[in-house]
Amino acid sequence: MRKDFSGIGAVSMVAFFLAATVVCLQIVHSKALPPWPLPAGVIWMLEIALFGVTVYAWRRAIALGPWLLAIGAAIVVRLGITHASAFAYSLFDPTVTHQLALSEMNASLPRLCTAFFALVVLYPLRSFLPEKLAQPKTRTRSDSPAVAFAFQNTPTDGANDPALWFVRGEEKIPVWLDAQRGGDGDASVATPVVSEEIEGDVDLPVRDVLAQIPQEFVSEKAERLDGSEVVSLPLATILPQLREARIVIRFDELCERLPDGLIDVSETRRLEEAETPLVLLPLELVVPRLPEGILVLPPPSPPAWAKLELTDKVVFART
Amino acid sequence: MASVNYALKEIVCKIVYYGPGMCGKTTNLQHIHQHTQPDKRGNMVSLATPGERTLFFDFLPLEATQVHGFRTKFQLYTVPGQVMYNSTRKLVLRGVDGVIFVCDSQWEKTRENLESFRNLIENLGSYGYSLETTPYVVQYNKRDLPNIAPVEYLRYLINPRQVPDFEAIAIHGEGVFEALSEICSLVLANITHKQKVGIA
Repeated sequence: MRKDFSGIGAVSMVAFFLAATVVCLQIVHSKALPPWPLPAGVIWMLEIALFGVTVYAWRRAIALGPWLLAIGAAIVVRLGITHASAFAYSLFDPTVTHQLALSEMNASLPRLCTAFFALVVLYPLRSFLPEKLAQPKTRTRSDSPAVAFAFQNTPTDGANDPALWFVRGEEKIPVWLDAQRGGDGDASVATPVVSEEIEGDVDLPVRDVLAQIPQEFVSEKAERLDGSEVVSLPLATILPQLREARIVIRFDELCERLPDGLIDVSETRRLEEAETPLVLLPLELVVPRLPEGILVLPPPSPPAWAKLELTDKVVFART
Repeated sequence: MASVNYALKEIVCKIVYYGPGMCGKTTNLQHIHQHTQPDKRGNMVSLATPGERTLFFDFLPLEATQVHGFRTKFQLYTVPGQVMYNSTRKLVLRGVDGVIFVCDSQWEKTRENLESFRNLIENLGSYGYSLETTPYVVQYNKRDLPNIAPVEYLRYLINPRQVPDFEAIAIHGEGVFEALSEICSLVLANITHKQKVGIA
């Protein structure tokens, strides 16, 4: 939420309020507008509709509560202008009582004019209208072991990463895994050469992979590993994630690929069926073990400025 | 934006060192400051925390050799690398002519390098600039540390288009002037080209 409000905004609000009071007073006093009688209920409905639509136009993503509050604030300001104009009316015309002036101000057209001016007065405050917070639809946190599981292996900046929360039920693995940022003509982005059918696996030491899993899920058999055992993970899973510098694999997929008996089945059963934690694999574990030539860069495609001929090399007066 | 003063025969360009926190941007500038003749540089201004983390920016004015009869002056800036200082990074990028993107070669910093690079693109975009039109080079710093990613992977990640890149150990000065000289040359060539086609 940006707050562009400043002292000038406050001054303009006061100025608009005073101007609105004077203008409304003139409108009523001059009786220039036709009566155009409307029932009080209709006037109220029109006024609230005007406020509601305007507030929505100022902040489309506003939640219901703040929207109603904003309408209430507009009504309060409108009442303020009405009463101020009525007071000024009764002040300048002693024959008119405050009540009489108020009733004239509450006629249909003066009322709607006042409503309009109330919105003008409140306009500088529109930047304070809060936006509705986006909520992930089917993701949730709980205190089950899988939560600790998912967070244990994330770097600090991944603690709030929704991609590493539980993926419930049939929800797909988050889109960020294969999203690439960068628009057209972005000099940073060049699609690496990857064959359409990515085949093959990368072999990782089982001990190092098990170290990424909370120990309560690892059985005692893991202690008897001699360090030579490997687990093969598909390149089709690994490669698309290299460009994001973060490699994760679904826990259930990893369990299927690990040798039998290394995962404590009784512990994994505690995980709810709908929860599918992700295991973060360190880059230093995976990248050095990739097959030779797998990280193929596309042909150089430097931007236009990089192709300019450098006729004069810049030299600095070094000590 | 570079300023060309035909009366004084002077070109002044702005170079920004960009990268994640603690990757070596300020170290680059400090090395340049310490190893440049005093009459060819100004004072280095650093606004940093007591823990030597850049709070706002570092600034160092430099003068280089004449190019086509014009004195060339470069204003070197660094940005604070920590995530929460994005507004400051955006401000420092205003009017940039060239960028040196400093990567921390350590494995654990790989993701931060990528996020910082994307942040650079985003912040340039807020001014209508892009890496397509703004010269940049990539410096893979901290090549002396034990747990570092291979340059091939860093290049795959940060520099797939293969703009000029340099391995560096900024704390020892390796790769510092090489990267600076290259970006300055690219910036001047870019300015000259724009002048010829009447863009600048």
